[in-house]
Amino acid sequence: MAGKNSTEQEKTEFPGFQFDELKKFFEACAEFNMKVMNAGMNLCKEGVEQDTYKKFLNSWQDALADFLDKHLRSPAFCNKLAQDMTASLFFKKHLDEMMLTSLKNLKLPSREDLKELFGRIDSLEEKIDQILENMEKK
Amino acid sequence: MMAMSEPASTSNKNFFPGLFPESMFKDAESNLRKFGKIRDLFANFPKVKVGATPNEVVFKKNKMKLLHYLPTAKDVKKPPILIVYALVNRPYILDLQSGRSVIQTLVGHGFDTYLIDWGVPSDFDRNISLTDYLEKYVKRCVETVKRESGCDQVTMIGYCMGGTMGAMYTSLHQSDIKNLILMAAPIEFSSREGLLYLWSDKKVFDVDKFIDTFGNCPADFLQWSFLLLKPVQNFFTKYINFYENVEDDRFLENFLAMEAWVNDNIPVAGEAYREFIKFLFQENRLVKGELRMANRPVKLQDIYCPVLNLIAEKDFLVPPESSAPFNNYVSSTDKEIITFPSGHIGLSVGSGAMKVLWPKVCAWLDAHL
Repeated sequence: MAGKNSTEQEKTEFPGFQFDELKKFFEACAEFNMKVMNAGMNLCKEGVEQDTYKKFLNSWQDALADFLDKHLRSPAFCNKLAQDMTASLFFKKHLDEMMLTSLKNLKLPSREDLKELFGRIDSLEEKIDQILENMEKK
Repeated sequence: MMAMSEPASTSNKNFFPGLFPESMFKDAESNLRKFGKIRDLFANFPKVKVGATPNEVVFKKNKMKLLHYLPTAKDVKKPPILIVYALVNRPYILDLQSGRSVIQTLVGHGFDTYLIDWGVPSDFDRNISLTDYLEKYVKRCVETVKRESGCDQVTMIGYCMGGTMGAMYTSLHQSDIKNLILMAAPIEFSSREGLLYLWSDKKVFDVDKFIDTFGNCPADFLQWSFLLLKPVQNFFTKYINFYENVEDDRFLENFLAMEAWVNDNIPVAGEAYREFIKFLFQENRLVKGELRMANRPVKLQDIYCPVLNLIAEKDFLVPPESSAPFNNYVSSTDKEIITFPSGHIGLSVGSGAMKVLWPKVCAWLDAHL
């Protein structure tokens, strides 16, 4: 029962494949294509001039920027971002743990040991700063 | 002989009239020149020079350096200015090149100017919190500037995240600050219009897990987050512009200096990053008055010094709706907003900002000596 609840919770937090989101994505793709095609058709009506290619490039860039902006702020992208980040953090955490065990077995200082050492140096530096400050005041 | 000379005489002819414009063939020579220039550029890549104003280090703590810019004017104006830069990116954007430097402008107007360069945090700095930065670093810098200049107060300028930190410091130590200037500083975090604000949302970004795994926030992560905000502009348009203007030496110099800065990202101390994302981006504690630093509440209402809020109208990193509300929360009676039609970086290096905005800021400072 507990397992089922946990799975349901995961589904709510990180929905996987969603038809609606896919539909929205294809709609946005179609809108992008229409914009680019319209821009091209309008330019064809005007006739080919020296800056036609530049104008078309600008229209394409604007349409693509608009399309990507919509996609980057869509819930589908945000959910994918969250999913991918969770997966890569999980991987890195386990890799770090493995490395830590290896270093311990080799009797080498780990990052945690160095962190502790630095913490001590930092507190010593802080004390020296305070002593210097008091001396300056006197 | 005739057969050999004939193709040469027709080599400029457009074989596809109507399909390709004549200009395409005329441009071929220019394109070849540009490719040659790019080839030469990569073969002998020029050393990019950044930083225009001479300075000396007057205080150091851990990786942080307090820089004092050597005054050029005979009469140095007081109170001194202390610039608090963001914990992300390098501070030399404020002194990028001669003629494109906020610091050069301030020093040129006779202001005694100091800048906090946070340096590059290492793995051992992962536990430095925002409280540490404010109470151990900024406070010591303010004391050093006061002692060096012989003044009781300083004018604080905070850029971006440094502006948020400047506002926090001022609310905690108002007596130290004569004037506060914020440059595109994020203050109000409730809106989800900006992409960075959307991606930092609790539902998307588990900052605890992220910092517990990485220690510090990696520089590459920040770099990619910023680049993805405007992918077409950053991965395409920029390089088209570069190609089109590659023969312009002045453009090339500016472009390379900017690229040097954009690609010179630094990690952020883990604990400070965690607090900034969690307390501000996700919980918006600063404007709610729920933020506490060193066991003291940080309340923007405790700020009553003159305030100048500089907002970049086209800022997609810190949208105006995030920085403009600051003036509504402070108790200052002397407060002003200048909205400038530029982007986030344009505020500090844009030619328009140099010609129009910063002379205005200097005039404001002159009126608040």
